[in-house]
Amino acid sequence: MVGVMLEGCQQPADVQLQPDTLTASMEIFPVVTPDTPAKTAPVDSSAVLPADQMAYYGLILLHSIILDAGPGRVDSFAYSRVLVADSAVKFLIRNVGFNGIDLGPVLLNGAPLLKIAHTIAVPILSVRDTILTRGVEYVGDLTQTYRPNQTYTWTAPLSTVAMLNIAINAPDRLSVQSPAGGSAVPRNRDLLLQWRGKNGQLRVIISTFDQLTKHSRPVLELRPRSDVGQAILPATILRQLPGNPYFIFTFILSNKREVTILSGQTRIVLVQAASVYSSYIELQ
Amino acid sequence: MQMRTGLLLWTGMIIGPMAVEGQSLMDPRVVGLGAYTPAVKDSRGFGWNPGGLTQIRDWDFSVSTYTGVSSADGGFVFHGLTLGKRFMDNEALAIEYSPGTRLRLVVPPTLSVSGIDAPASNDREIEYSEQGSIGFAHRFSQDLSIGVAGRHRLERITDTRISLVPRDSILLMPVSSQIEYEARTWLIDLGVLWTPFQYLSLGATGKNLLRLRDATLPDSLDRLALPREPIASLGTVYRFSPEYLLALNIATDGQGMMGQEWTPGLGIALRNALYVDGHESPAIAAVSLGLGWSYEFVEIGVSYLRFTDRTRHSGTISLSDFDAKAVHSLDLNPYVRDRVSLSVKAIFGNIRESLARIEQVEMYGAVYPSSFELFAYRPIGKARVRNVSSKRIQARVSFFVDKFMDAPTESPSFTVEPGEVAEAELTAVFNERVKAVSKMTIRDANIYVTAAPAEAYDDRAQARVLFRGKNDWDGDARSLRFFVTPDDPDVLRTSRDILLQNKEALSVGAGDLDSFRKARVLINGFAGKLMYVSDPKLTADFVQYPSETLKIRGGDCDDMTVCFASLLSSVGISTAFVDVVPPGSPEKSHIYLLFDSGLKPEFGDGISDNSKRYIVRKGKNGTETIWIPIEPTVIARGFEESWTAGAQEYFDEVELGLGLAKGWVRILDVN
Repeated sequence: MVGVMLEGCQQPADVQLQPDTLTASMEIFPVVTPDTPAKTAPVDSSAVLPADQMAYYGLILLHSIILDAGPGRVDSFAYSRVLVADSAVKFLIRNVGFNGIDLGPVLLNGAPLLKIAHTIAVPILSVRDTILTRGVEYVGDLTQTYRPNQTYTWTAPLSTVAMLNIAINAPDRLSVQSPAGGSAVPRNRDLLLQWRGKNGQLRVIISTFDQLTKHSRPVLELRPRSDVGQAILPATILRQLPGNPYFIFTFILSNKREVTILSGQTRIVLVQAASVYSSYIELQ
Repeated sequence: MQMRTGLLLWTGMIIGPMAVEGQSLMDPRVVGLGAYTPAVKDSRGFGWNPGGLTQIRDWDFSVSTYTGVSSADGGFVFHGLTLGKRFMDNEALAIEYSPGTRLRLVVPPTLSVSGIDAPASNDREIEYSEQGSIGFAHRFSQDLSIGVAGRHRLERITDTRISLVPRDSILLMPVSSQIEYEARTWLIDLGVLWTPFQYLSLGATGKNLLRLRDATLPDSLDRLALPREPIASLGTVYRFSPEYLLALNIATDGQGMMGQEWTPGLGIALRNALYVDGHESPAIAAVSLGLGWSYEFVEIGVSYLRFTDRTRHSGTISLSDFDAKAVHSLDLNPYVRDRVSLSVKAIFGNIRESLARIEQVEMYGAVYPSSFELFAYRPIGKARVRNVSSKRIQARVSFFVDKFMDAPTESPSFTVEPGEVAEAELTAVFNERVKAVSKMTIRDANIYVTAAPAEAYDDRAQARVLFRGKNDWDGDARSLRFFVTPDDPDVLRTSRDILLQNKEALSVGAGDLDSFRKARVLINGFAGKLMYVSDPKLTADFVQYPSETLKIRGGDCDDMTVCFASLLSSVGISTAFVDVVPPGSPEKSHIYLLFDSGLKPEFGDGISDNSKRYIVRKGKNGTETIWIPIEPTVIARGFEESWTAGAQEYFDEVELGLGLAKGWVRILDVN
């Protein structure tokens, strides 16, 4: 008898109650505001959170962007950007950005990227931004040439300070069915998030959006636990979002990794290929 | 057989149109047999019918476990343990601790907070459990038991809430917290077990008849509360033969079970059952197989329950399909999975299974110490014994009264067929202490029945025995002779003294008149010292022993008759009582004495010329002799007058009144 009792020390297995439609469970993450006076690039177009923009000593990006503000108000483009820094830029002790180093010609799949000045915007007097120029960065417009599910390789054949030869696969082209851009979403009902696109990890960044200044501020990050194309955002969360009615739901389907490319240094650079779809909505 | 078939049909008609209630599946016999309301026989299944608790033999203890058959089930679950005790023959109590009687449903998280301090949790967790219950039963008769049980039910709903709060450099920090709601309820059930025939048992249970609640779920969660409305279930077990039984069970919640059990021998039992549920598709919701093995005081059972709907009982169901109101049992409902159950039961105390049962004890009357020896061969009462086994038995009934008996008396062995009843008469060999009972006393007698090849008794009953005082008399002249004590030292001394004082007178004369002359001397010698006292209480109550009469030198006719019968008997003279109960005048009943003169009838004129003064009758040796009637009420006046009065009475009552022929006069030999 004692044996039976000792053997049977487990609990009965739970019965799982699943929603009628298959949805992915999501993890919710806070978005940290970086301690910097510098302006950071908006997530809907950069696909990099502000804290990450201030954390990495470089960004090597390949992004396909769709900005959906409603029917007839959809904008799409694709680009590549390469910034490799060797040092941080300080302003009144605080970090405001990085100094982009010149790698010589930088090629993306053999095509040269455009070298431009790397600028940092710092709102010193709160009236007008002060633009600091610190080194260079490389950009390329891929709107016409971007292909999903293709391998893209960056090289800098003449550089002596960096070993730039990085390849990454572009994910599917992401499309979002819900929430549709320009839609009004009630706060008192669960919101179905629905997307299509694979070959990458999906994140959803919720940002507040000021229609007057056009400034956005990311406030939450959601990560689905499984790739089933839909998930539920409970109304309890919608109700707790700031009172500002306009929000951007930025879906980022990305492949990314961290690399070190500067000789003799352990500076970490973010490499990311992403398909980004931002829906501009109004929460009611 | 016709009656059995009729009963079966009747049972089927009753249960057919009704709808069965699933209960605790702690006992593999329950799982294997399915229909258990009328088959409860120990502490494991009293949730099905608390009335069955009286089937416990003494102590029983069991422990149970189960496991699912899929890899998701994760091993054996400790289902619970029970402890039962039968006491005071007709009462039984059981408690059950059952942590495995639990159903937990979870709604996986749609959203969970990431971070070490906020582990992912389910959106909602619904837990139902019945971890404790207690039952009590009383047996009103051998056939009918009623029991009541209380189950403690816990319903707990845990919701996870995520709050967004500002913190340092974070505008909205997700924080997870849990809100818990609980409802605790004691549910009271009532069960009846009726066994009108050895081969048929009927069980009925009313579930959820009373609710004692100390907490409730909020109204918004009421749809997740378990059903609380009363449910009735009815079941029957029909034993076609000692080796095979069929069980049926139905309930008003739409469930039904039909099971069978075959016991081929060697302590092995094979079982299987069909479970029907009107709410499920197909209607045959599950099938079960069971195997049991028992030896001495240990019983092991194993069972397998398999549901036919492989989707619904898979452990995952859709939210919209879940209906808490369909969960009438936490062990058997549309959401549990297939399971293999294992249980071990141990019996302690009086662990032998009874073969026979005492159904009734009837005592014929009081015990009169004066005639206590009589009960060694004359029944003092009788016992009705039923064979409750499935085999023919040889039974014996024993009877014992503490202190008044040195050992139990046992009836001859008699045969009782299975299920049949037989009566056995009880005799008693009392010891001398009975004669010391000075006044009326009631004592408990223990009656036991033992069925071969048993070593211990199978059943025991008690009966009240009335012991009268040592001088009490039942009025029957046949009992009066038990007051005659020729061996009493006082009697012997008195008769010897009188004969010794008249030694010379007795030594003269013919030897054929010895007995006559001795009687005359004895009566005359003591008669003058005695005084007759009329009995104010008539005759049927109090009689003095001769030693008491000799001591106080007085008494009524009964006392005198007994005393002189003792004196005469002490010197070897046979005596007899003449018991007269005049027809229509029982208040004039009286007794007088005859003694055997030993003279042959042809020598009658040697004692009297009047042949009406003596009686010719056969003695114990079968030869005819002359008997002399003596009326003890006038014995103080001497032998002659007593003889004359006695002869006159005998002439009037027997010869003229024809009392002997008509039966209102009896002559009862004392010696």
